[in-house]
Amino acid sequence: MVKKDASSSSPRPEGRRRARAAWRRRARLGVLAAALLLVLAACGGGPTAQAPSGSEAAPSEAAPVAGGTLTLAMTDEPDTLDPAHTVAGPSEGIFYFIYDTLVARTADGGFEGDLASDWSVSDDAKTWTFHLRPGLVFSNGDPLDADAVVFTFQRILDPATQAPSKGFLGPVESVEKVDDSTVVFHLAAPSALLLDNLAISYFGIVDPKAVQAEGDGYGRQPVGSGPFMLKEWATGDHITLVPNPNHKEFRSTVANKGRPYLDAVVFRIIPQVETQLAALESGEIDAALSVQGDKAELYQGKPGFQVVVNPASIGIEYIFFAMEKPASGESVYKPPFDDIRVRQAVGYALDVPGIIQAVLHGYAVRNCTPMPTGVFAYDPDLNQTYCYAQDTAKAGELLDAAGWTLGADGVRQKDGKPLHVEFWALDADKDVAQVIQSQLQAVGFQVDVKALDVATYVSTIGTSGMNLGLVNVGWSAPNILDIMATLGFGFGLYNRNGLPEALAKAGVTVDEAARRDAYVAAQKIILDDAAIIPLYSPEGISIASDKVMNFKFGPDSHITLPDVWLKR
Amino acid sequence: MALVLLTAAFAPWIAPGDPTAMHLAEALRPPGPGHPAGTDNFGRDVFTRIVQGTRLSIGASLAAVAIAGVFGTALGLVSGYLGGWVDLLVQRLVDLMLAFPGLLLALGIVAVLGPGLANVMLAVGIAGVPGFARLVRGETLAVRSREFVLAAKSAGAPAFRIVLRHVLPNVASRVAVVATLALAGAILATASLSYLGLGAQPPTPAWGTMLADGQKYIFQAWWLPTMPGLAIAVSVLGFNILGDGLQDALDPRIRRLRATDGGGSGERRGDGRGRGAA
Amino acid sequence: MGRYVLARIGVAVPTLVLVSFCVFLMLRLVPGDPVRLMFGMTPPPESEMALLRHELGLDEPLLAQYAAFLDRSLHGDLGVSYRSKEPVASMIADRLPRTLRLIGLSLVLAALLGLSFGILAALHSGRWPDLATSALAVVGVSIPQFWLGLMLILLFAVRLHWLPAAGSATPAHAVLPATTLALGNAAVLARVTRSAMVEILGQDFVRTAWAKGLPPARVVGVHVLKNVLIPFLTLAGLQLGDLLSGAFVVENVFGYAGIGQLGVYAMAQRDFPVTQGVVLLAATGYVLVNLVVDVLYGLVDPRIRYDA
Repeated sequence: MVKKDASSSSPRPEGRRRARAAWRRRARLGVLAAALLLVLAACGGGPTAQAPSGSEAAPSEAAPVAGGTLTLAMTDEPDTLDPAHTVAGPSEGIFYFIYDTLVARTADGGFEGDLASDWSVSDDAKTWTFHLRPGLVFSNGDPLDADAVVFTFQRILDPATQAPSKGFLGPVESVEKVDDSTVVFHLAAPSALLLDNLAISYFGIVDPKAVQAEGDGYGRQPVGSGPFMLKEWATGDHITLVPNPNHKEFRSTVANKGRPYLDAVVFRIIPQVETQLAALESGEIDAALSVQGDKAELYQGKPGFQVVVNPASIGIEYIFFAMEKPASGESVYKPPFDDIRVRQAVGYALDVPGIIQAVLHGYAVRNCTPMPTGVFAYDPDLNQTYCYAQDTAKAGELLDAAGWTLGADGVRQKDGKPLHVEFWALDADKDVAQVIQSQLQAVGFQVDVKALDVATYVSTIGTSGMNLGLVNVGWSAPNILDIMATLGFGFGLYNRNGLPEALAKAGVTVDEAARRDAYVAAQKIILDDAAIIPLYSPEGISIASDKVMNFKFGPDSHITLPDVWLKR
Repeated sequence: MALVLLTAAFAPWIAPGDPTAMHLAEALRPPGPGHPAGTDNFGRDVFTRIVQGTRLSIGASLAAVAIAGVFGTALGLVSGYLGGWVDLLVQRLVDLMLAFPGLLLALGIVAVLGPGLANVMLAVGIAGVPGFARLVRGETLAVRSREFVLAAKSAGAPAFRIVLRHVLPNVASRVAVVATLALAGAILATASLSYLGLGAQPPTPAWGTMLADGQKYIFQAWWLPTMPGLAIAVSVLGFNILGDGLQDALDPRIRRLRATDGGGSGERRGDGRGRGAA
Repeated sequence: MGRYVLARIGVAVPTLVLVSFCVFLMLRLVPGDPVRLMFGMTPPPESEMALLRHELGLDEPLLAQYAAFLDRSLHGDLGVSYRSKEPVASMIADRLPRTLRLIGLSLVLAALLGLSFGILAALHSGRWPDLATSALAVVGVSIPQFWLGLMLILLFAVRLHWLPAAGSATPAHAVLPATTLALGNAAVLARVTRSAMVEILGQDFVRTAWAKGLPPARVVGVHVLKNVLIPFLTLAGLQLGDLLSGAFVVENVFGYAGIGQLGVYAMAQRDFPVTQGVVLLAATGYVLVNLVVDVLYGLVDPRIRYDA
């Protein structure tokens, strides 16, 4: 048995950058998330606690002052505040403050106990035992004990609940109470990812009594043990949270161990970012939670405001190619990308740093690997070795070698057929897609861009004339590779060169060094085959009034609200 | 009006540049020498895009209004002239379509067909059909009982012939007037659909899409949403003047009719569809 | 008269049923699987999604689904949102008052602006106030609402601090979106008022009134307005449908929590019950308004009854 306690979470070299928020995860995987996340998908990831750059207000040495209401703008309304009934990003953005989880991420990317004081895992990594802290209570005074934990998880595991988050629990078969302060997770197969998942606030512990009392209405009357609790939800307009008097703070990432400084936090729902900024300027709100690079550029150095940016990212934007997967055997690329030289030519045709500068206004990190820069097993060496620098001559040579010769009209041809490709992107990625289109056309592709809403994109991409696609996936754990390889279209059908086996092996390897090697090996398989062309990891940006002090993002890319205070 | 049509006709000579050519280093330049309407976020020349988009935007709106006008007129003629159960059936169909708010109808159609300028125009066209149908039906009812129609009828002319020869010409002027007004609505409808994420596909320089995409930059590059907006306003003005002119020139009777019977609501509906979809 | 009204109602009901069928069919034709969209990035095995589809009744034949939907709707049950698990009826009821406030205010604004500018233009027909009004009207109809909305926010919220930029908490929050919504319709109303006025001003009874030396305010106020009001009211009523369309865009610009915002959001998520509810509500509203307008027409002009 490997014994761990709350204070000795394992440090990881690049781990601090790994921690990211689930709601951004959702957002970034615009593709599979609800369409309401389009805007977020465009915005990229969120900032973390570490060193926000730019004109961010200087860390205040002043003592925090209690009092005041913080008003934030979010783009979309949560659909429910019952964690068993949604995986939508905006909901998770509230869960994080009203629920506590068994374990939490630390600033260095490891895990520490939150509701659990410590935990242990069996040698086969199939039995996990968590010990709860004594004397925990929900915001309404109900006890938070092993029964509540078992209730929370069994409810999600129960097929009748139809919990969309069930999949995250992976091989978890059951959760069992040993005594009032001990629960055991039984897994069907070893999992190296259980803690990653338990730290997400989809698995915040709910009050069984409240769930039973409210029934279907629980989603609007949630009861948790987090630093804040719901005071009011004005449908479509705002959600107000107030400090939870019964909350106890155990997380090392929250400096304020007492009551939050704020009297209330209001999340205003304002769909359009331009309107959010207008409201920020008129003083109606104190911060816009997620904005795009062009807005950040506008507010950099603007008196009265601060721009908070996170250089680390759990997102990866990449180009993929149409594939087909026969009933059995290897998946195949569809023409014209069945020739690796044509795929590589795409890589050489693009000026990615130029795109980052022009379209994202610099708010992204060039990343040539499938692993986001802020996730475990991101490898800077791979990022060096496998990077395509723009080289249109080289792209031309590759295409020539593949038999695509330049025609009089600037479009390459082979056997009388033009090098025509249909390029699919999410509406939110339209700007990036247009630059890619123009750069591909410069080397002789003929490109039609299709910019689509999330729902249409996901549902029709597999059966369409798509040759080339652009997508943005975000996830804080290294199994982001599994997610990418199972999306169901393009690279999501990939099963060549032993990738599924490589990923399966990495997923059950508990030893950290071995696990890292396994993920690096999997990345090499992807890059050697030019199966995708990774472009960049986007950065998250928030803009706030400079009255908001300590406005920073915690390890889960949510603002550490208990630490925030308002300057008078 | 002439300006708009001339621009459409001679676009390649007025602004010979490539409307999709990107110069990332010159992004978001304000209007000035070299770029009379500034550049967009890709460094594309806004003036070139507007000028070259004229043909596309006006053409697409024409197509949409043509769809609405042709089908709407046909339905209205048949329904108004034949009356009886045909009329009842057509009127229920029209009621049905009118019961959807215009934008919602177009939104649904585009969602089914997929985005793209052609589909958007088809959707806007379909959404405009009931307005024309109702207008033409009202006009037809008024014409049906006039002497020359009755005379033709008693002379034993077939219904088809009477409608084409006698009714249609009398209805046509009203249709033309409303169509010019609907053109403006059609351009705006593209803008609204683009705003809701269902517009022309990039990098097509359609005015509506340019406007919707440009509003993101309203804070730092006012010219991006404003210039295509101006182009739309000028065209709408042109179409309106044309419409008023047509109205006065073609049929002085119209104004009397509108003020005194249900034709007024018909005209409003025709006009309203355009606006409604916008 | 009573029979006429009954006949109109008799027609309205099947229209609404047909509308509901069209909405239902359209939503099923739109690409996008609501169940797939419900799961974030890691969709469970197909078998589990199939189970959920079954629970939601999505695997039944289309007509059976529709019959069930119709049956429930007739009993006042619009279903439960796929996403929030809330009853659609209560989601709509929450937001409806705000949208009604928005549309009502906008109608009043449009009417006031339309009437005053229309009268102004007609009284000075051919001179500069007329031309200016025409120009304003054109500007009014050619500005997209999302653009106008942002401009109003910049001016009245950011620069002048007179009104809030976004939200829907207080009646003051409705002012800017209502204005945005009203301007286009005000332009149309102004044009119609003007042309009706010009015509009536030229008629004998008005000439007589002028000749009798009645004060202009009285001529306009009593004789002319009375005659202009009927076509004007009809038109204003008909614009309700347009206003509802406009609400879809404007509510999104202003973060105004009404029916339009709900509809756009539900459509994006393929939350069928909510989308159906919203469209059905809009259609019912439109049909009701038309019913009232038609009845009014029938009262004013008996000929119409034979046509309808």
